[in-house]
Amino acid sequence: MSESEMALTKSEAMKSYIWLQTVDGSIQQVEEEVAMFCPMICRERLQTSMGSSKNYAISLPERVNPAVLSLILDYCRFHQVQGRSNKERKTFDEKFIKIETKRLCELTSAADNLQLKPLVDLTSRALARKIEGKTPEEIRETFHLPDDLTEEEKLEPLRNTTDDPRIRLLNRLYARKRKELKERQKLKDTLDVEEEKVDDRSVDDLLSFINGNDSDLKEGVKGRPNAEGSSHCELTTKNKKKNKRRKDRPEVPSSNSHKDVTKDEAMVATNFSKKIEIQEPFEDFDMYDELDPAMKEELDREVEDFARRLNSDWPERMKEIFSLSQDRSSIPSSLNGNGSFGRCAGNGM
Amino acid sequence: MEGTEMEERYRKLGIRDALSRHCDYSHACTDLNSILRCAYIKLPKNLQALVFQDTLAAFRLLPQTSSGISSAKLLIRAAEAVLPKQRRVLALSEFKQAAVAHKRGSKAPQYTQGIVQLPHDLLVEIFHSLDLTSLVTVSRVSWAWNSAAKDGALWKLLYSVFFGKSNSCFQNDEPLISKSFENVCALELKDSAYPNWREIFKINFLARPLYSAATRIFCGGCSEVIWINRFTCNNKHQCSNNLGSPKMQPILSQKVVSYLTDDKLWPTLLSDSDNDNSDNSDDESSPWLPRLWTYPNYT
Repeated sequence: MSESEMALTKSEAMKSYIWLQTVDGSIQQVEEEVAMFCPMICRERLQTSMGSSKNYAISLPERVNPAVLSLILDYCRFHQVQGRSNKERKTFDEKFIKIETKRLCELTSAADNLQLKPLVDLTSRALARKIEGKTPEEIRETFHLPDDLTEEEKLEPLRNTTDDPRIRLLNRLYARKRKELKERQKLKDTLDVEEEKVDDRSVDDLLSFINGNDSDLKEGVKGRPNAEGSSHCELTTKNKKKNKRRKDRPEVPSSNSHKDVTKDEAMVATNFSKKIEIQEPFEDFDMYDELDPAMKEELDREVEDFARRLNSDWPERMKEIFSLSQDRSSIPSSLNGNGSFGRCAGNGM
Repeated sequence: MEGTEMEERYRKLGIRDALSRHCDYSHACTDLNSILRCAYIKLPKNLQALVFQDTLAAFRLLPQTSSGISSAKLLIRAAEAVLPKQRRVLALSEFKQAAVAHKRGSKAPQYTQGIVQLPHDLLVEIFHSLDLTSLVTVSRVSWAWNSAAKDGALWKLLYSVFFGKSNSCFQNDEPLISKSFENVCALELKDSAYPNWREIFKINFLARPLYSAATRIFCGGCSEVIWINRFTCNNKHQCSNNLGSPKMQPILSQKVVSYLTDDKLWPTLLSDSDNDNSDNSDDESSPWLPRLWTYPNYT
């Protein structure tokens, strides 16, 4: 190896150089035979006879920045020497592609621009090896790609081929928001685990309270306390989840240690949001998967009922709830006559 | 005599190479699992050593993916159940090393920021060397990659690799599940000047569930066992026997053990009588149902 290197240095004095200019303006001086290994440079040299001096440097295409250019020149320098065995070339190649992914991508596109086919093949195969066997999420992490498919990626055939950038951006935002909501839900789930029992009870009371005492309600409500009571657990969890998927949800107070009835009421109340639309069906798919169809329909009906009722009487009901809860928190003893409230107050304090 | 034949068959299974390919790592681990649990005791000594070496290699070659680590966990459980004490200790230490490295790798901070946009043509070029599973996965990554993964020429090439006339991966004279598939296919091909090759491929592929569930095929011509995931656009099977269209048989992962241990199975395979005398009792009509809870008991 050292002998050939010495021979190289001896003949360097006789070599001719080519001047290459990258897109950022910096000019490099490269041995001619090394640079001629690239077909594009070769062609430029022969056709336009540029590159013989500093002023007339061959300008390289856009994607070739100086760092990548030096890598490419290393590759050319190694491979243009005739006397290397296949095994040597192979080992060089394998070491050559052990670079970080971003650099590898840059190298691939630069090699493609310079039409250096063997290097393109080498880097493409290396990238393919980095892709295979991974899930889409892992691939996105490795290559820093945006998740701009969302609901389309769930459906197998991609029908519309419009490349509207606004749609792409919107999908990206949806994906990000969904991730945030999922994380928030995970956080909530870990905190909510201890409090499930309390929540159920207070919601039960809340519902009976709404049904029993609120005079603004329509008639249908009073006749259905049982149905609501029986399914209140599912409704609670269901609506909690629904809550988490709403994008314009106000931040649920994270002070879960408080087991306050007010907080629970506020939470349930906000669940039936200002405008409950049974919108974005694909968001609700995951939720519905856990309930069987019969239950599903019943819950659907009930949710819609609640939504209708709450939407119509929202301001009055909110006032009622908050005023009563304030009374309750300040004078717990006065409500002891009513067993349920006493229970609630006991749990709340 | 028997021992060398079994070794030969084991070598043909190509587990070691598959372990170094990310797309086949899980399948290879599953095969090792079934071999360990079902056949290890009955194997001759040198083959047991080979299997053990491959198990260690599986841990050393653990890829940095989530499916990889779960396959490795299943494998160590099988190894712990079956291997004698000394080998078990070695396997366990290898596994622990690999698991720690995996965790460290997944926590490594992403110090490279920024997105590198690869042009469409370059992406298609890269996808030429991907196997089928990865190709479908890749179309779910982002919009740009999705449009590159649907490239017609790519799927046309893949179609010829899998269903083409000669040297194809799958037998093309196997009757399709229903005539309707064939009709749709023919329609698709005749209808437009630009047939949707991806759809055609999909129809053909889904119409043959036996092949879709298999991990390897057995080439009747050169009697080689080849991993299906090695078929990419760039890599077709050149049958060394040069027969017109050699008869290909899919090998499901459940059949691996019977392939290894049963001497009489493979010569008769080509004559279409699949006498399954092992306990791998699964329905031929639904081969893709995985055995979730139990491994067969060889008594």
